[in-house]
Amino acid sequence: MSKAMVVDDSRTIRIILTKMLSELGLEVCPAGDGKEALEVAEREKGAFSVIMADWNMPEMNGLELVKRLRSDPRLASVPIVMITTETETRQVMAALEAGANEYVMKPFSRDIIADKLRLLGVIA
Amino acid sequence: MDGPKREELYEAVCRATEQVFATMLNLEIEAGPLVFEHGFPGHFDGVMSFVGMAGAWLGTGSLFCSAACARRIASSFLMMEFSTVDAEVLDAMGELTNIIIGNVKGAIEQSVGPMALSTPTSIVGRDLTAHSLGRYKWTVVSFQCGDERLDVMMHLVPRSQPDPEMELRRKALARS
Repeated sequence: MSKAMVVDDSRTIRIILTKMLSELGLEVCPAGDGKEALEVAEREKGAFSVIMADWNMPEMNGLELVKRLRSDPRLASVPIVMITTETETRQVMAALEAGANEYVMKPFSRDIIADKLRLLGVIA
Repeated sequence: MDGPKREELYEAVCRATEQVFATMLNLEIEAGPLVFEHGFPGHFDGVMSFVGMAGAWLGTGSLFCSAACARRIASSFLMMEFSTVDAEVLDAMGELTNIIIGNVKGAIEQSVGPMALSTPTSIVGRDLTAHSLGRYKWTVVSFQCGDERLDVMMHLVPRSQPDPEMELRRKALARS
C-alpha cells in the first residue's frame, strides 16, 4: 500500500485527512509539526507517495519544512501538497518555488483532495 | 484604510461559513439577517470558540452554538459520533473557527490590510459569562443548522483607535 505523510498541527485536520486518504487507498503517517515530520520521514526512510503539509505551523512553517524535505535525496521527487487558507496564497507561491508541487485551500473536500492526487499521479 | 462596510463583512461571513459547511461538513445552513450587538454577547450555555486577528486592524472572530450543535458539527466534520463535548469536539470547533474566520479575513484584507490569526481557543460550559475588552459593536450573523443555531461573531477596529477601557487604564496608570 502506498504511504502518505500528513503534517498538520491541527489534530482535527490530521484526522480528516487521514480518513480521506485512507479511503483513497493510502496508508497514512501523521505528524503534528515539522520536526516530527522529519523524524517520521527518517523512520520511514522517505518511502512516501505524497506528503501533505500545512503551511501555518508553529516553530517550522511549511516553507521551511519543504526546504528541509527537499534537501533529503530520498524525498527529492516525492510530491508535496501544501494545505493552506485562502489568505496565504502569497506564501504558498514561495513554497511552490521552494519545491512544493501543489496546494489545497481550506475548506477542502475528499473530491478536491482526490483530484490533486490524480493530477500528481499518486492515485489512478 | 476605511475598513470593510457592514454589508461586505456580512457577505464575507455568509460566504465563508456556507462554503465550509457545504464543502467539509455536508450540512445545510441558512444565514439570518445581519445583527449588530453592542458589547460581547456575554451570558451563554454551550460552546464558544474564538480567534484573534492582528494587523493594521485588530479584532476577534468567534463561533457560538449549543453543546448539541457542536457535537453535530464535530460528528460531520470528523465523520464519527460524539456523545459529549470532549477535547476532539472542542478541537473541531476551534478548527472550524480558524477556517471560517481565516476565509473572512482573506475576503476583507483589501479593506483592512494583512492580518495574522492567533491560535483558536474553544470553551464549553453552562451559565458562563464572557467579557471582551473590545467594547465595540460586534457583527453577528446567526445561521440556522437544522433545529440548531450557530452564531458567527466578529469585531474589528483600526489599530490606532484607542480602546475606551484601555484608555481609562492608561490614564489611571499615568496618575499613579
